[in-house]
Amino acid sequence: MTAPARATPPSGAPTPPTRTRTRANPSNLTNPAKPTRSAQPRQSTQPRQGEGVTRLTPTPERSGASRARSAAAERAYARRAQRTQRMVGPRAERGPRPAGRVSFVVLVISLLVAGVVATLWLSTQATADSYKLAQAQQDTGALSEQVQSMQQQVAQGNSPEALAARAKQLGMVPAGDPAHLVVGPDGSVTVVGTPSAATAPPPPAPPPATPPSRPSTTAPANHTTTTPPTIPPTSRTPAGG
Amino acid sequence: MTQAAYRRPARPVAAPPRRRRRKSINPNSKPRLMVGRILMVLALVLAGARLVDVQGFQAGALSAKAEQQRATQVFTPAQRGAIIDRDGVKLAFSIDIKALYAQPKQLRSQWSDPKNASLHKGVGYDQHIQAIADEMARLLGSQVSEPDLLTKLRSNVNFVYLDRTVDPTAAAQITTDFPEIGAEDRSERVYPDGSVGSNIIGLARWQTDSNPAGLKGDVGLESEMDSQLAGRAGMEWVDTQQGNNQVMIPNTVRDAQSAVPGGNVQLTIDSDVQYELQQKLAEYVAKTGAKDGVAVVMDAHTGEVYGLADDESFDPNNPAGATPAQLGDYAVTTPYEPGSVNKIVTAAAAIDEGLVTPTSTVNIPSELRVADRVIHDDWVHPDELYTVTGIFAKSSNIGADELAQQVGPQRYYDMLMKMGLGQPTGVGLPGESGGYVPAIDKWSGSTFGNLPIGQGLSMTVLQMAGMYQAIANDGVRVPPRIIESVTQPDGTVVPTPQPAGVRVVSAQTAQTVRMMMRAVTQQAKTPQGGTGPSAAVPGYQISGKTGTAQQIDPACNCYSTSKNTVTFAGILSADNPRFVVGIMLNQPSDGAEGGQTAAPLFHDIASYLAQRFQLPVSPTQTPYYTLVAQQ
Repeated sequence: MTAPARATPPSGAPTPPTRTRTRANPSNLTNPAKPTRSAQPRQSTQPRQGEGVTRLTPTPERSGASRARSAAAERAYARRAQRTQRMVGPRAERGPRPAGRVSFVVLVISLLVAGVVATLWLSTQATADSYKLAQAQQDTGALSEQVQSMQQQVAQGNSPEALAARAKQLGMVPAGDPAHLVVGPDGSVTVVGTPSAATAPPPPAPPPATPPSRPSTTAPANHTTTTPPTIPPTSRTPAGG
Repeated sequence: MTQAAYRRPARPVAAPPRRRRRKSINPNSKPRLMVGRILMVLALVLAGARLVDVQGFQAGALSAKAEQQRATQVFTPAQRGAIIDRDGVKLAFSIDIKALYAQPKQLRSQWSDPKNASLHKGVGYDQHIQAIADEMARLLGSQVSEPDLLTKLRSNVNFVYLDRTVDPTAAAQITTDFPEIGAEDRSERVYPDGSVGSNIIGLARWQTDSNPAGLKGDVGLESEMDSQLAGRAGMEWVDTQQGNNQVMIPNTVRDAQSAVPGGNVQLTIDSDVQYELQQKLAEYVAKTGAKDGVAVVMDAHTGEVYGLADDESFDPNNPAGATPAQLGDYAVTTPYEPGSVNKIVTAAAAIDEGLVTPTSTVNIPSELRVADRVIHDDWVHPDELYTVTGIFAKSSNIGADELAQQVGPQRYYDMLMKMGLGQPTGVGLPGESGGYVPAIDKWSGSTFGNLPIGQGLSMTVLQMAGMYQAIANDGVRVPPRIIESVTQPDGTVVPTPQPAGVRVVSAQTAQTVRMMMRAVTQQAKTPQGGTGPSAAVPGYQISGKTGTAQQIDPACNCYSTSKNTVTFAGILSADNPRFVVGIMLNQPSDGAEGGQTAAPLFHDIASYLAQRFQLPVSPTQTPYYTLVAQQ
């Protein structure tokens, strides 16, 4: 029994626990003897409160009693209610409101307002920025497309085929075998090769109209191995060029 | 109680009437209140039950359904990496474009709807589509044809692409002016060098059947290196308007994964060399009437491929008309019988074994019987005494076979293997063939008469050049490679490791063979001239070997007398090797100039390389060699 009372099993003596139980006890609410509560239903100046309580306490015993009241009793109740009103009413307004509370409320409200304004401003800014961002992204996209197309032009202009075609267009011809000047250790110069002016090559022969197709084994990525046949004994084999 | 019941009717006339009366209503409404209360409680219970049902039991299914209705998966295409050459010149890269589409059926019905009549200002549908076609033709120029556009817009289909490759600026202009034209984001692969290296690089195209749609490698390295080039598309889920996935609800993006661009692939190719090689090869093939040809330029020390050309290539920017032959990379996929170029194996083996020296003399009979077959030289001659140098410079079949007999089959076979024949080089290109070398245990008697003269085995032009690279690199063969490095999206450069070299012959042997093979280009009076004087480049000592191989005639399953494979492999320059060039021409016509040899083409290529890379001239000229010691 060293355990705290709360932990005691219910089989023990009915320990009255007390605060909670007292509060929860409906008898307190329905107790007609309690002046304030029972007076309220008839308090004409506080109809809502009274109704509320009445609903909470619809015990037949109590309603029967109220109905049974005489007019005098009603008046007495009314007076008591007025008394109570006098006592309770002013109490609410008694003590002067602390000046700190007002300024606190003002502070909170102004904080709220400032917060709302800040939020609005930020979201407006964010929206405006997102338009700017979209525009910037669009610009970036357009510019990178431009870069791509320019790189493509450079690459195409840089290609050997394009350069050769342009060189030919400018009247340039491929150099043949160049002659070389070899400077000896003693400063003497030897000419190696025969210097000659480059001449334009004859126009290349037109390619065959229909180039003969290769053996069917030359399909792309086709792994082919030619297996030579056995050579007939009498065949003559020329080799060398 | 009874009293109360009795008094009640009297109340209406009592003094405090109003309050009393109102009070008295309460008991009358009690059943109604009760019913109301019950109804409300019932409604509340029902609502509560429904709440539990919806929020608890059906929650998963319903939210999945809602998700499905509003959530849209949005892909951000990853930028495909570029392919660049050894100097950083772009060979392939991607740009953003738009595909313009229209929905003619819907457009027409909306236009003819009387409700929209006021919007059109009296413009008829035909006039309107004419305006669209006019603007597109004006902005896109020759890229589109106006009649074609009009046909598409007049058709009664639900959806039609007007043009799949529109510059974004023009597309934006068109879609602003005509909002009914839709634009779809796409990427386009651009090959600024056109057909330069197209056989190697291949092709990537926009694939709509993959998810997400994007550029995907089709052919060549674009396909082989697709995983490195493609990158990873970005993906996110976003809520969109019902029925219109284009309208996104802000701040609903989730599970966003940003796109990872692909890596850049740098090749060992030099685009200028590649261009020249393709040009010269195509010209030469045309000049000699050959069916086709391949050529390679390789670094003499590192095995890096500077150029690898087919005579036929395609324009990857316009691949529609490309034939399978043009799309393929004949240089690596199709081996051939090399002919006398293969005699270098005999030379290297014989000299490495110390059996002969370049000046040793060998008696060359008019014919040589090897097992069941008789070997002849390409020209008729009586018994003669050749130097070893002369055997190779004049390309004597009999002499090569005699030397090979001295080497012996096993050592000869080992040398073939060390030269990298019969196995793919691992250059990094798709579909590479390893050629064919008969296994030594399957050799017939005549096989050993054929192999030393380059018949009965096959190799690709890369393997052929690889043999000469070993000789150029003082006996160490470095397998060729074409991919220099891959630059990952974060900038990390991952170089392709240089393959381990294979010691083929000693450095001394390699040098001896290299010097000896200079005699091939010797210009001298018969009979002291080599077979390839036209390969000589003034100022540079050229070491190389000509070759002519008979092709197999399918009709008789024998070697044809008219169809030849003409080859040349050479080193620029012998005294200071920098490049190895290999050339193969398929069936040049005998009558055409240069039809007998590929040496002139080698000269053109070597001369260009010497200029392009400003190679120093050889300090001395090639010395004179005695080829025929005694006739």
